[in-house]
Amino acid sequence: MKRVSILFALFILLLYGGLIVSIFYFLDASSLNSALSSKRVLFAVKTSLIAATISTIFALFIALPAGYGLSRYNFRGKELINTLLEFPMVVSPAALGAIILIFFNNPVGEWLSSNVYNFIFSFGGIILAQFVTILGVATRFAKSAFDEVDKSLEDTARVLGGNSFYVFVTVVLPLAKRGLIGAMILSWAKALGEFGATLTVAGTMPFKTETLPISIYMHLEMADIKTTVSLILTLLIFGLGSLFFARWLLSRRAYD
Amino acid sequence: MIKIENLCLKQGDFELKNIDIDIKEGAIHAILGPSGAGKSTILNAILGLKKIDSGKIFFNSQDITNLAVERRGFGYVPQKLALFPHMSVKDNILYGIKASKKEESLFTQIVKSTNVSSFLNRYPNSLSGGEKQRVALARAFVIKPKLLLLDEPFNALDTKLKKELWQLLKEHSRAYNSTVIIVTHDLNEAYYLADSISVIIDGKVAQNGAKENIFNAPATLAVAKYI
Repeated sequence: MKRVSILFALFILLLYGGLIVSIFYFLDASSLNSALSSKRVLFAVKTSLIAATISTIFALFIALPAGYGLSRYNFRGKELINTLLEFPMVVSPAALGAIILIFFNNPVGEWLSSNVYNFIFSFGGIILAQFVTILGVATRFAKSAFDEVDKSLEDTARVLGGNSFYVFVTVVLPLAKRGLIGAMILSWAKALGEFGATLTVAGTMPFKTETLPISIYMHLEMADIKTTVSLILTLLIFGLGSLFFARWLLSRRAYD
Repeated sequence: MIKIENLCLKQGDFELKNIDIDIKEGAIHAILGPSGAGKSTILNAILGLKKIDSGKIFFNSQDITNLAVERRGFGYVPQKLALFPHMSVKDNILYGIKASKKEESLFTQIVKSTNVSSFLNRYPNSLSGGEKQRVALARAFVIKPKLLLLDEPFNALDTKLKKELWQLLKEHSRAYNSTVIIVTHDLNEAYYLADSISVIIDGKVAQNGAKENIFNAPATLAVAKYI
């Protein structure tokens, strides 16, 4: 049993590792250098990093209090919200993008576009697409981080005289800190790699709405394999780097 | 001092029914009963951690039934002690003082009487069971609570250590004229510590009274069997 299960686990390493290693077949230093010095590629990298950071900040702004509420209180609609957190995962990214587009063709969406901000085919559209994609997962991670904090610590702190906000800042937040930082990194990595919804909502305009994943798609379409590989490597470095960092952070020994 | 009138609380299949308890100032009162009788639920209702369905809780004649938990000014030692793992022993003890912006006047005295001075800078995960109990007691004592509530805090300790901490609790209660409510299912603990006792069986008060009355003249067969 042990050997078989380990073999299956090693298969995952072989599959993903093999796919990653295979890109090096087309990689050479000069094409990597020229790709990374291209203004268009640098713009796509910059756009991706900035958009992922902003959408993560917006998502956490909602996810932190929402995750705390879902972790600590019982209220009407809680189960429905809990189920909807996985909504962006179960619909395909392209469908999610299409839903956002459809929303902006409804009267409320049209009013928002005309009077507040036009998200379609704009930088704001990238942020919106990433925000909608990661909000559910960020809330799920935040809820898990708060679930880890023993409720009796909070109760005791309140009995000893701390009001809800003081207890949250001095007891809950420090104890949930590792999990929340993990939630932030994982959400950011997911936003960075987001493709389908961004493509549908923001389009593929170079020097305007071209993110790193979209740039990969466009260079592949042009059969420019060497630039595609260089871009994939760049995305892997940022994405996998942040995932390894989050894993290391979450595996560090917590307080007993 | 503290008076519970006709308290009712339903929690799933379990129900507390018409709980009446009256405790005098400076007394140590034990809430005694078998596991699952509802002792801790009564304690949580007094603390404000559990919302009650009906009834009243008075403290010094003031109705505190709906008063916010943090404004009751009570001290608390929960069953699992709930020491804050990310704070040093010193910060744990000072938590209530900082939270309620009280003066640190009792800190030195309490640190000495609870004998925790040698490990003030250590963290809870490096302490022994007995040391943790002392820190939890010091944290509750130091805010000079009007009422101190303890939920089976000495359960996991050996007899020698238990007696030491019983003595500490008794001395503190006398020295500061603190009213104490202790939840326990340990008859020895109740007999040693308490001035008065409420016996709780199946969510109801089976008998209230002075310690001697409870042990010498149980009011019902159920109390007699339990005692």
